[in-house]
Amino acid sequence: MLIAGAAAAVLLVAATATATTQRTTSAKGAESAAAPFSQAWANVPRTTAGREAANVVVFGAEQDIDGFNTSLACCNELWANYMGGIEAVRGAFIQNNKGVWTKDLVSSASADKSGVTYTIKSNANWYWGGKKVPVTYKDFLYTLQQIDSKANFASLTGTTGYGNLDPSHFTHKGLKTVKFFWRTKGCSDNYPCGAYANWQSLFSGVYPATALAGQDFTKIWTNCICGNNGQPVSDGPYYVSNYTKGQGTTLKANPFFYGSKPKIGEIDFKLYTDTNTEVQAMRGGEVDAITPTFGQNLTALKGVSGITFNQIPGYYYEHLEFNETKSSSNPLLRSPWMREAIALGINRAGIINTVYGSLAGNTKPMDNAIFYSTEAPYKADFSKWNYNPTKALAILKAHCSGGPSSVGGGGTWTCSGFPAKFRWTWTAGNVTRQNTEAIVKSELHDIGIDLTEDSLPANVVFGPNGIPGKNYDIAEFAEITSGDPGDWYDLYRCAGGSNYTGYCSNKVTDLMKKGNAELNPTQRIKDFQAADTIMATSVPVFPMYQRPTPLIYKSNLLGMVNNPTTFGPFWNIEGWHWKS
Amino acid sequence: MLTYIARRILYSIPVLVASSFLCFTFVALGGDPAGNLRQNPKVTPQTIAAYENHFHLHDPLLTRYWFWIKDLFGHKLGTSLVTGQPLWPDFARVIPHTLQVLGLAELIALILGVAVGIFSAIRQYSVFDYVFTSLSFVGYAMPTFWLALLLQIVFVDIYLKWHVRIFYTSGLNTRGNATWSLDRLQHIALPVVTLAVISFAVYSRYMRASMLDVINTDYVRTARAKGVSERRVIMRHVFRNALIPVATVMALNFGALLSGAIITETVFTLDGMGYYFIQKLGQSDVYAVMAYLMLTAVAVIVFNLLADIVYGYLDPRIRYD
Repeated sequence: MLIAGAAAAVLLVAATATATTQRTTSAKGAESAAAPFSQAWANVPRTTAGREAANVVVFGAEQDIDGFNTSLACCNELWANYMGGIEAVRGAFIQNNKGVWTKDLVSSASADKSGVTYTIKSNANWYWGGKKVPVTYKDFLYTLQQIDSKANFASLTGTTGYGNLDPSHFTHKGLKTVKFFWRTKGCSDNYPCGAYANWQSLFSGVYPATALAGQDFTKIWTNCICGNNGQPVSDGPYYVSNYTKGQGTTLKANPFFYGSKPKIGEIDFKLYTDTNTEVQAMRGGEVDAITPTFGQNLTALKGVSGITFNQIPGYYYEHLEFNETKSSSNPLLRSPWMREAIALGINRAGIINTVYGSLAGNTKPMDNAIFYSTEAPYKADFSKWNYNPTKALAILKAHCSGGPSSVGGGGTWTCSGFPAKFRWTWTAGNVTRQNTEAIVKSELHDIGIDLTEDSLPANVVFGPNGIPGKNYDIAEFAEITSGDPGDWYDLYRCAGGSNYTGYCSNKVTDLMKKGNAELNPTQRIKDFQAADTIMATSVPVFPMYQRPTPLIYKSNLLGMVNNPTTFGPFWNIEGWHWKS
Repeated sequence: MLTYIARRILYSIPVLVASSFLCFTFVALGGDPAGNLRQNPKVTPQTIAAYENHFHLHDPLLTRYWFWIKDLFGHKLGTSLVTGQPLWPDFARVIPHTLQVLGLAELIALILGVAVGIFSAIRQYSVFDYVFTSLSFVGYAMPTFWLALLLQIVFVDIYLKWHVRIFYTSGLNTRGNATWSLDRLQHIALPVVTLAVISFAVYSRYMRASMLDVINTDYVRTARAKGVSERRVIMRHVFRNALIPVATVMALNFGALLSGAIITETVFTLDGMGYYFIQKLGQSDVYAVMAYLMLTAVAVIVFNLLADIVYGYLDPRIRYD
């Protein structure tokens, strides 16, 4: 009876398990008519050598996605960009590995006080289920109308930049040239008037107006990048041939791409959500490349024959914020000299080497609160606060009493009646930050400042009772930005929506506001550089370092260039090729 | 028996309601479905506010629970709080994968566990008995995630050294789409072994202990005295009666298997229920998490009922009113 029952169980499992092979049919438009990923995956060779011969690349993906329409709040995910967004939805400009916006879909583009003008490349076409459809100004207009639409607003990530354009006011010359005008009336916070300085980031992904005709923009592309007939659509070097949730994506070369013809015929993204599993898959040759979350477990891939380990400083700004508001438990943080002393007492280079070990590579302390070290305008304004405990002690001696007479001497300072004791907040479970806190606690203790641990879950740290509620003293966390200096405006300006430190300098606010409206790139950079120089004198925040962005790939796979922006290593995917 | 089953099902309904409310309370209070939106600097406060209003995130708990119940029954397991898409297609996709892995693991563990348990009992205190007793304790003590990672490393190292791919370390398929192909079995072998090890340890110990209890009973001694062959004594008299507690444990073990599947599927990146649950929990997608919990609660109740039915069948002395 037991064996019969087991046999029945096997049959039941077999019957239920066949559900994985059901073909997805095109029920409603803009949902894929393609076969599930597993069927496409059927023909992918098992070994790297086999894939080389077949001109296929397998890329390990760290996260699954909720959809490919990254303009929507639900689906604004980095891996949605990586697994098809960047390859199939190209736009006016693309950010290269230096963070510079370079022309992509357009042959020329300019901005002035009246608006922005684009001239689309004459050979720019959509691939739509095998048909060639020209890219026209109507696609740009459609994109603007959908993102600026008040009806879509609640579902969108935001209207930043697009809100400055008036979708009802545009001119076009033929099908390939269009000018959009800045909004001049009906202005509001979400739809401001005037120029948007970071205009090159606009239309970095353009939607196909013809292919999406009749579709609800807030419901498209849940499991494909396709038109209203379910067929894949693309203006980039690849189109999304199929995607199956929980498994991966297959991209195929777009024969109509306007740029260099893609050298790799097919790129498969296979899900490895566990980083350790991803590492083993890379070691074992199950994947050809990965761009994983940086961590110590990547050490297993360093120095491995046949694998190239590359890492660059990412747009991941690990930093400290000091609470200068009345919500802080200690008013001493309102004094610049206390913040300066804390900065001087922290050995950032030592922390980097300790927490990252052999993976530290070229990671250096970051000395600018607005520009990343890989960006041309970067200046080491904060380098004046490099580790110098003797100097820190001298500052504290001048304002306080009762502390150590020499570095490591013991005792805690009392300044204007307040003890030099602060809460140190970080996201619980983050081992790197936990180790950082332990190191900093020891270093600051040596100069007479004490810390109490305040490790909290991420949803508390970033929730209304955490940092946004100004319920902290010193917090260590990271900001991830696009690399544009305007991203920092809300964090550093007086009463900024993301200004949780309470820092307020009218000069800095004015400079950043001016920079945000400045269309001259040289002057814009000068405005933001000046703002950073001022901030460095009072240390409202203290940059720590940029977390590295790794790219690990088979050495035979050429043409891959790491990129810290949201385009990732896929910015030049058409240039990848096997050595053979 | 039918009356008994009907009564058990009716008793299960308030249990389900109470457990669903408790689970909803813990999950809803433990996470912020808008958390990921808040952390995205591009998402405007207005979008977050609209999202919270749409899903009643600021309403009292009982109100939110009511809206979830409405969604659950109105949309076949409900809709996702994160994507707004129906949940049933996701579950229809992942359930067969989990059932395949769990079914195979349970089958292997049961066959091996029962066989080893029988032989250990018959050859009590032999070398075989000592070896498998030790292995059982090691297997039972081994953390699932540790074993999973270890197996991954071992088979990757085998591939690197001898260039022979025996098993894959992740995913469901590399080649072909058949569910019972060699390729699929190569992919799920390691997760199946991971889950089977602990269950095997449990079943072999229970079977051994149960066999030893029955072997020394009067009716077994009587059967031997009557001249019944030893084989017939073991398989006809001892085995069937010793199987009763194992059948009960097997049904009750289902819940433990599901929890083990969460870790195993996450480590091996198998697109199953456990993996899906972890992804949704990380996103604080309350409705998806609740759908998973309700499905598993129903499954545990059903398996408990099955355990009682099987128990009644195996032991004719048991009769349910």
